[in-house]
Amino acid sequence: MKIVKNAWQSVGWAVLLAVSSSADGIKFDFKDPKGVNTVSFSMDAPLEAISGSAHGISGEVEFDPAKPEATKGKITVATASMHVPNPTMKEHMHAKDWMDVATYADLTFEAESLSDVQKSGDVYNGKVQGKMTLKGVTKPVTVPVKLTYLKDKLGARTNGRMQGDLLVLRAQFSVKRSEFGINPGAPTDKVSDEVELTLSLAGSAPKR
Amino acid sequence: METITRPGMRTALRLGALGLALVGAVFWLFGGPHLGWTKTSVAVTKIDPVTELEYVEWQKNFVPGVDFLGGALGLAGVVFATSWLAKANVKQTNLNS
Repeated sequence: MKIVKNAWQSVGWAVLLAVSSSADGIKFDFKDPKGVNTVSFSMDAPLEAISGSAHGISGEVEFDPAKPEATKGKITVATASMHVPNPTMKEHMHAKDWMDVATYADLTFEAESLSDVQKSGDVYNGKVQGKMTLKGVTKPVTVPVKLTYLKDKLGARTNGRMQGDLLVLRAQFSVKRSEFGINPGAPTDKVSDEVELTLSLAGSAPKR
Repeated sequence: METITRPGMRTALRLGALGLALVGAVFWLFGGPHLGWTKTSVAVTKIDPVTELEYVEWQKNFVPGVDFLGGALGLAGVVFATSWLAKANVKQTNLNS
């Protein structure tokens, strides 16, 4: 009976430790009223590359400067905020064959862990393992990222209205649109299958 | 009695076609000349001073592209082709002289 009691105590401690270790990370909110946070995309096409960006970004990333490997979080991009400079092209991009923004309002990046971390000052380079959900299709992705932890820099960004830390996230990778069911029938000599994505995001963690 | 010749619809249409082609080409030339698709907004790259993130701000601006030029030249071609269906010069007889 004592052994069972000890075992339960051990489990209790393990759970408590797991909870406390996950609570060590700083939670950064990536909703950016300044409109700086951008996900840029580019696809090769015969006349010129189709390039645009999305600004409807939200999400939360938990980051611990002492334990960057435990970085996790989720970034959501509102598909309706995707913009390209040609209005007809934008209409096609939002339509059913391409992004179908009416049905799939968001695309998400979910980070589960960070590996191969190399720290240099406040900069952490590594590879994020996670999942990307686009047009209802979820695929595992490994993305090289650069995280910059800016301690006590939130005040500089809000003219002193708020104090806290900033986390800058930069990533560049490519996905195949056909794998996510984005107009898989479109000829690749007209629009490339590969979509280059660039994430330039900053999250804030106000001090309470 | 004197007979005078006036330019008819054919000439007017041809002049119109020339005007359309010229206006299209000049507008395209002075708008860039942009060799891509027509844009109604342009990306302005900015840098956030605190995070040093490079980001894009879209500003409304009409930049005619090759589709605009092609459309103007195509329309001019249609007007020019239509001119073949129109009457050539009109001969008018002045009975007073």
